[in-house]
Amino acid sequence: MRRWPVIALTAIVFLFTWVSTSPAQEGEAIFKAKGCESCHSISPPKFGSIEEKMKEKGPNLSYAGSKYKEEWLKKWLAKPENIRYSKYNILSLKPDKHVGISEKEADEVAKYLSALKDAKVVSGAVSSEELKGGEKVKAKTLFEKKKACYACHTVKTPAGKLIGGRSGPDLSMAGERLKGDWVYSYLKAPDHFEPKGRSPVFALSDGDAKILAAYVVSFK
Amino acid sequence: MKRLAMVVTLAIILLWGFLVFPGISISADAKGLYKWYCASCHGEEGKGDGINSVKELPVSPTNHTDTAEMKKRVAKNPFIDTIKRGGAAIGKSEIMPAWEKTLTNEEMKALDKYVHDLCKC
Repeated sequence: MRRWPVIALTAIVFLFTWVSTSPAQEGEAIFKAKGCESCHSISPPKFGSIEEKMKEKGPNLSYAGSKYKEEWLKKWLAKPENIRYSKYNILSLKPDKHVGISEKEADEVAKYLSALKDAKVVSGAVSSEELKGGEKVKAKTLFEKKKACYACHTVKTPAGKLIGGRSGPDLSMAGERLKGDWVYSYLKAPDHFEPKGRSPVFALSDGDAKILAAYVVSFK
Repeated sequence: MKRLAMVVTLAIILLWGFLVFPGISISADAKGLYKWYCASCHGEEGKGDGINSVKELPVSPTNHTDTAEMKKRVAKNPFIDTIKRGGAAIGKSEIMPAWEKTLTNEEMKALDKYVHDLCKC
């Protein structure tokens, strides 16, 4: 009979621990245990020089939840495929194969990364509806000519052929990976997300940045 | 004796400068800038063979080491104009972006000088 209080107390402590360990915390523990931080910083980027930027071995993930779609993160972390044609920040070298983790671990890490947000990304800035008519033509002109994004980023033609430059991340499946609101915020202020990044700072109007972002995330 | 003291003092100041600011040399900065911002298209040595030099794009990146061609180009437009305002502003390809909102004036001047060095023109 005297054992009941001990059993009850143990059960309460166990329940409290279980409830207070959020999925994001589990993901964070896996992220740290796997050594992801050795290549991916989760602190907001503050590069003062190109030399500092070049030391970065992988994308900064402090705003991963604003940038990446959670479903894509889950799939990619379990079965990673290169989205760059060169090693991160070293164009003369081929990319390494990214380490994969189990599907269960990928789910937890995706939840953790999805909780890392940047307040600068305006939610709902870019419509999820497909661009039509004149807007689509304008966005395509911006992408291919006026701002020539495809000089550095690979895209897919309607026939499925990959074309374009290779120094930046492949955008042929950008819509599976990226959130439109983040693309818009990046186009407006690339230096905020990637100080000393290679992508030029463009003088885009709000309207142009929105349709260009919507166009980029239409690539699937 | 005074002259010797001045020379020694100057040498110490210069040595201190190099130790404290090792990246301050203009040519070293320009090479780093070129490698970071330009080499993706123009190649690390400026031969127009960067990773973005792919056949599907409408134009090939300019070979900055082609002295004859570069002389013709600079006679029409100073390189600094192309760097600042991009290809479209001087009637060339829109694929060459404008860098004036990304780079400082000093950085663009350093790149201008570096391209002149590459083309020997």
